[in-house]
Amino acid sequence: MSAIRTEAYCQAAREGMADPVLQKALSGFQHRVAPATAQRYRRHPEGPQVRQMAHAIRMHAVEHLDTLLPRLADGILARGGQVYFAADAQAAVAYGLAVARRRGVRQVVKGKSMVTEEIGLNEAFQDAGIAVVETDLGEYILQLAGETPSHIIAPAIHKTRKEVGRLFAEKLGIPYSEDPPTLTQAARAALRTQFLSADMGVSGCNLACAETGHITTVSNEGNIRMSTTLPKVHIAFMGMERVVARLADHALLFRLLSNAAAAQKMAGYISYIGGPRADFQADGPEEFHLVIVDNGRSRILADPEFREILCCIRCAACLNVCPVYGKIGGHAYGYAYSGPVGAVVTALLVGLDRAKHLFFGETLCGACKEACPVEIDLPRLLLALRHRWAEGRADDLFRGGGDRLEALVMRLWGELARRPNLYQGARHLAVAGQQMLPAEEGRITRLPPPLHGWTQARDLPRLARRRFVQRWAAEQARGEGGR
Amino acid sequence: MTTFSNVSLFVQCLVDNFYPQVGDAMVEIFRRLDLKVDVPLAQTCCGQPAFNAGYRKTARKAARHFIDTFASAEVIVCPSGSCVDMVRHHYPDLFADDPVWQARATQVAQKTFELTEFLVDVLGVINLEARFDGRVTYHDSCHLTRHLGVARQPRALIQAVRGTELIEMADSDRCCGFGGTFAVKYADISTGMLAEKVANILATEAEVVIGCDLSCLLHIQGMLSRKKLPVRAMHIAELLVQK
Amino acid sequence: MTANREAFMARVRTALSAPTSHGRGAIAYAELAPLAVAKRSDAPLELLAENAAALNIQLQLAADPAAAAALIRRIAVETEAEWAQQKALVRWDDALLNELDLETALADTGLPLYRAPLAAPVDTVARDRFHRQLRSAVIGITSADYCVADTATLVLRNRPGQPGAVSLVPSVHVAVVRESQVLVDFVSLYAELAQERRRDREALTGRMTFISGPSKTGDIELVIVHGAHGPRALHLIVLRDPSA
Repeated sequence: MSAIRTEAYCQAAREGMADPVLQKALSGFQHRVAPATAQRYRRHPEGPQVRQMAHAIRMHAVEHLDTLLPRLADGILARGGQVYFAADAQAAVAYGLAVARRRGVRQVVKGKSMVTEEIGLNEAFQDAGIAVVETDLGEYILQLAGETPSHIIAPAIHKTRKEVGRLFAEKLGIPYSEDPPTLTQAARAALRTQFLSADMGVSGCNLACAETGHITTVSNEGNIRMSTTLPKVHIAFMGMERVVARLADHALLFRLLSNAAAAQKMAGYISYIGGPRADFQADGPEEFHLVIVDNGRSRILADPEFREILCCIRCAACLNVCPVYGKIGGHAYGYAYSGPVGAVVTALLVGLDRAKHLFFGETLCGACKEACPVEIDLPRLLLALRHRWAEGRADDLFRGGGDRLEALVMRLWGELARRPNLYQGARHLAVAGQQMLPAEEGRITRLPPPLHGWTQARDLPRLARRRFVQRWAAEQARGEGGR
Repeated sequence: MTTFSNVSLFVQCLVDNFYPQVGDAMVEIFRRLDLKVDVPLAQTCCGQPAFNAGYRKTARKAARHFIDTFASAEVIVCPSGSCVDMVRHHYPDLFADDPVWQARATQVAQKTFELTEFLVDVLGVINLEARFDGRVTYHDSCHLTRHLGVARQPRALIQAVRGTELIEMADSDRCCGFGGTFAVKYADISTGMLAEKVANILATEAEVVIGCDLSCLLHIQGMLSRKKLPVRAMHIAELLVQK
Repeated sequence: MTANREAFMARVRTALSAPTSHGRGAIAYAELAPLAVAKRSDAPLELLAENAAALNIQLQLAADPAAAAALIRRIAVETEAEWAQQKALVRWDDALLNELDLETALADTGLPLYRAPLAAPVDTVARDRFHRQLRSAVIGITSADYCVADTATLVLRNRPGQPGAVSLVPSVHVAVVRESQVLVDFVSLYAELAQERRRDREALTGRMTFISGPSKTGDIELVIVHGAHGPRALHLIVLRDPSA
């Protein structure tokens, strides 16, 4: 499993916000992609329900995994591919390593894949002495820099062209340049050598098709096609939910995925791969392996409230609109998945207590739900996580430790909320108490802990001397008396 | 135009406790429209803070109290999109395993409206004969615009105010960073988001930022006054009674 | 291997035994309306031209095979070598490309034109030779099964003489399609594929690729650069129907 740094959310968020380069990049990226995506959504001839239709397709698939996965596997087996069902990250990685060892693999080229980040494949291969080269340009830049991705689709948005220029000058030995075409050409040349000499290609899977028995890969650069066409062995990893029932389902989903991921009408390359090369083929790998990964997904599937998150197609549209992500960047989320979807998926994969900052550190603004191409109700899922964390039952698959002090405060507050007299009484105390707080021009400038965060950069009006409701009551009494 | 004999106000906690003048403005609006106003005195809070923090048992207590308090109301109007979202969308779910309360919750949910949606969509009123000379900008609060789908209504009301020039800010529907306890627990992130909102407000050179949710306005005003900026936050109800 | 599949699927079945009402959308899968067809389905070539331009695809129309061959000849002459000193071309061995008689059209240029191996099975010698040719080629020439106007997408499948790598490894990709192969949009594409599958369950083949434009990246400050790993340019030649 890749390193989990979810506990450091607040600190990492502060670091992200203190980085002016990141701030500029995030704002520029969100403002460019998000409105263009929204515009694309509006242009589908199916009309405004297009995302609901996609939701239906995905939810149907998730609820029929029991029939779809065997069908997918059988299709691939029939073409001479091999399929491995991995219960967890360790099993998935071990299978990949076993294939690599049997084939004497020393060098791997890899297309961008979230699930391999989740299971920590690169680290395991490197520990075994197998070189793994990330071939997506953004990922390649980060690998050279020794960093991790900060965005699902645009992993290196936090790097400037100057930084890339210095990095390439140092690592690739080219003259310094900050011209993106020149830098891209340098990476193209360096990676071409890798593609032509690698013994194994690794990819993820965007949306498999059960009906026909194919996985699909999507890219714009062509790196995934290279990685899955040229080496002698191709091994693909997919989260077990990444399948749909019918071929026709792709007609809608690939349009929406392209819109959502990069505001494109259609992604540059979509490849259907259903097995190793046939004997009539002059290209393609001799061996094709599909590793279907559970790693906690069947637990999510079993939970009625959280099952919906398995509809996710990892497009990153929710990152592109999220105002919190837009401030803190992807590294703050401390795991392979970032943004609103990361807040939900990470918590379900690594545990609610470890990831609580991810689902509490959101404002429930709802922008993610509107941007999701398969209309996942992310705010509902965030609320459900908070509920399970605070009040989860002992038999819940997912629950958190809660906070006893906060629970007590909430209980008291609940009593006030249903007893107007008590509410009124508590308010009297607060009105009296607020006189002791520092104020300027009638506004409170410093609150005591645990509320002091508010007054870091904001002041607060004083409570009105009398509530509106009290004033109203008094007025009514006067009015009636005078009549 | 639908007619009602009696409008019950749910004034919302922040109005009730911090900004009673917004409640006065609502009363004034309905008086001008010849509608009888009722303010159930037992009202407290809809329970959203507890609900959003994950404490649904507590939220249910508050919700039952709300439902009891407003059960007999003909129609309930609230100057907050967020609270209406709570009542309309979360109350029925909150009682998913209790058919009796769920029925009551649904009944209350169906007659609860946010102020501007009630004025424009239910009553068909746009022009309240208000006058306010100045440049204003409008902040779309999250739950109002995305969960209730209300964005056109407040703008129509603002544009009908004589003397008022509405200047749209960039990203008017981007969250201001309030988010309830988020503003306190994740103060750094919240403040970062707010700074962006304030910058967008300033860029319009408006004198007033109008909103329909006191939670956002309290938040925005918090930074405007702290930085002594020449803009003030105002609830739309207050604008609509300016003369 | 079978045991682990059984255990895995048993977990999935158990998980699914808990029904849920959460996350139900407004529409049920069984009641999904057929997908809508894009507007302007009456003028697919115009639609294609518009979308090809947006993707930086060099689209040209050819009245007949000889005209198409002449276009390819010009592209071959004008394209600069990238990976090898000697400019070479590699092409699919299929009926449409054979019709162009590129060997004759290119004869005076002196540029080598390799053909992908057609005879099945492809033996190691033929495969190695093909791979060497592929690496050295600056232009890869393919046909396509379909071309989707609404997205300017080419649909390629792997069949004897038609290895997908020809559209990928060389610096420039040239694709030739007949006008009759142009479909309006993705919905019509998938309808065609479904129909093909009704005749032949393996119609998709083991490898099917959709190509919409030349290789591109925006990973450095969102600046779009063509030729990230795949072809830096894509030329699309549409062979007009004789009736047109």
